[in-house]
Amino acid sequence: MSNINESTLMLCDLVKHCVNGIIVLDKQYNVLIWNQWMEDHSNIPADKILNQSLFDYIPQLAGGRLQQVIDNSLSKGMSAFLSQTLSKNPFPLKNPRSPFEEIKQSISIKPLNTDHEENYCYIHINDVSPAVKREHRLRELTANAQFEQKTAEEVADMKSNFVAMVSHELRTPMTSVLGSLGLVKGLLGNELPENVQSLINIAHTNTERLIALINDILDIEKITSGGIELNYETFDLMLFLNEAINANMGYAERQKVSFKLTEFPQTTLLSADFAKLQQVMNNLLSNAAKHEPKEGFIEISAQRIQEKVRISVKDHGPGIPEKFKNEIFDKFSQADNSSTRNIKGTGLGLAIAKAIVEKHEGEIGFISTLGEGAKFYIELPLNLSTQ
Amino acid sequence: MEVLNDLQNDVLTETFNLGMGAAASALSQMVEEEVKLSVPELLFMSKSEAAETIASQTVKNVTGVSQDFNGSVGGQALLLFPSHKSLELVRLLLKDAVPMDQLTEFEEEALSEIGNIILNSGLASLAHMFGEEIKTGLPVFIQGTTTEIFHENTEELNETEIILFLRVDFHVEKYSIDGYITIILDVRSVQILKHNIDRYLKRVGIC
Repeated sequence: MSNINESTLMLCDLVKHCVNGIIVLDKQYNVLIWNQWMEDHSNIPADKILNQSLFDYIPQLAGGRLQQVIDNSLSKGMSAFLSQTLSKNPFPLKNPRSPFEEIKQSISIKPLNTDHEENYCYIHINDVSPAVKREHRLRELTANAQFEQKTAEEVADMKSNFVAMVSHELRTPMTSVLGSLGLVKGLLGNELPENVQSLINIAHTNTERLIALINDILDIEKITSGGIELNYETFDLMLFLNEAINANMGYAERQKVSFKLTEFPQTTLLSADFAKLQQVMNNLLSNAAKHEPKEGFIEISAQRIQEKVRISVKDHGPGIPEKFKNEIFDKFSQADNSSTRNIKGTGLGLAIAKAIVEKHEGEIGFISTLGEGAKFYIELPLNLSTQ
Repeated sequence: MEVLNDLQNDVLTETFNLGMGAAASALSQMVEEEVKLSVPELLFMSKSEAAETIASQTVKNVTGVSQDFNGSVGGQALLLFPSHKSLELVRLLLKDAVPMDQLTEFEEEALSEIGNIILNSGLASLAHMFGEEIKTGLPVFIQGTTTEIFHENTEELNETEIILFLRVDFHVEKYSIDGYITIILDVRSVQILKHNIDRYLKRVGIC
């Protein structure tokens, strides 16, 4: 002991005050080092356990995996690692500040050789309790998030199925009501008193509107649940625009407005679902017709922009209020939400149009200044060769 | 690469199979589930061939455990799994109720312990066959592409190093997971390995 120099003393101090547990055993499992951390966390003072067999002093450690790896270290020179997850914290250690709290342990075991070729076993215990708590918390949060996500998905599915089912069940009787009212109007219209005729007309118009709403709900549910397949075909852009204009001409005439095709590119072939895009155009044209002042005209134009085609529909109506701009493509969204609104519609048309255009990998948007009308446009990729 | 003759190869494979048997028994006890381990294939190859072999049989990212060892033969032993398989293995053994996207800190620790048990058992059976001591270092968790792992771990070694490549079949419940043990040896260690296998064969009276 006379050769102990300053660095050895420093090392001893370092081991004593290390913030992890340090134990050194000899070949007979006698404890040669039991540092301060071990004293604090095991409640076993060093002077009690030193030079005693570890397994005699703490019998519950004998015969388990810890003894196995200590044996392998002492006799075969093998190092081992015991994780807190698999080896379940073998040392009976408690938190000195909270005596009921067990210390979660990660343990490294290494053979230690000296110049005298005597074999020793070095045991290093790392307190991983705070990290275990963090991981448990993380798992709890993940489990909650997974549960909430699953519940939200189930609720959304249920809601969507419910809406689709109810709408489907409503459509059949409503079609029958509409048919009957149509027959009454057609066959007995002139024979009925004027006030009854008026009531039947109201019933007929509102039934038509209800059926349109049901159809829109069924459409949007089908589109948003990914249930629609596009039926791609190649067609000429001009033919497409003319068809859309013709289909809406009657409505425009009733609204006392007209359509004007102001600009269109040379022959351009589009590859898309003709019928679905007609539905989009019907929506844009009928919306424009609704908002266009009487005797006004709606400008329809088409341009080629690189590998895309842009179709625009411009009206000269009141324009879109600023606060409504962000939600215009949302379901059941209408600028005038009051019960007495002037413009009739289901509030689903633009949401459906957006879904159809996006299914085509295209884009829908608008430019509008309040009081100066609105210009809606759709941009579609030109998938096939153009002339 | 033919380093050992068929008989030497068989002896070495069986030695590792004994080691895997011991490891499987230790693991079974720990997880209270029957774990089976076997070595169906043992080959010698260069480090680049080893990286290519693992990459060709699996996705490029691997996860595993590395351990240094020394004694009459010295080198580095690695237990590697395709990264997604390592997740599967740890979860099977730990019976995790809430699976996360990647290994958590404690799953990494658990994998280190599993790797430590398997590599120690393999090297201990080798030491037993040699009749000599092989000392092992502490396990280190590793993750990366096969090229990164072999480059990083073999950078300082010379061109003559050889990889002892073992495919390990891991069976837990009804699942089967393939892993690889690669032991990086220098030429001197390979010669000692051959010499020790021959000595063992003489001792048991086969040659």
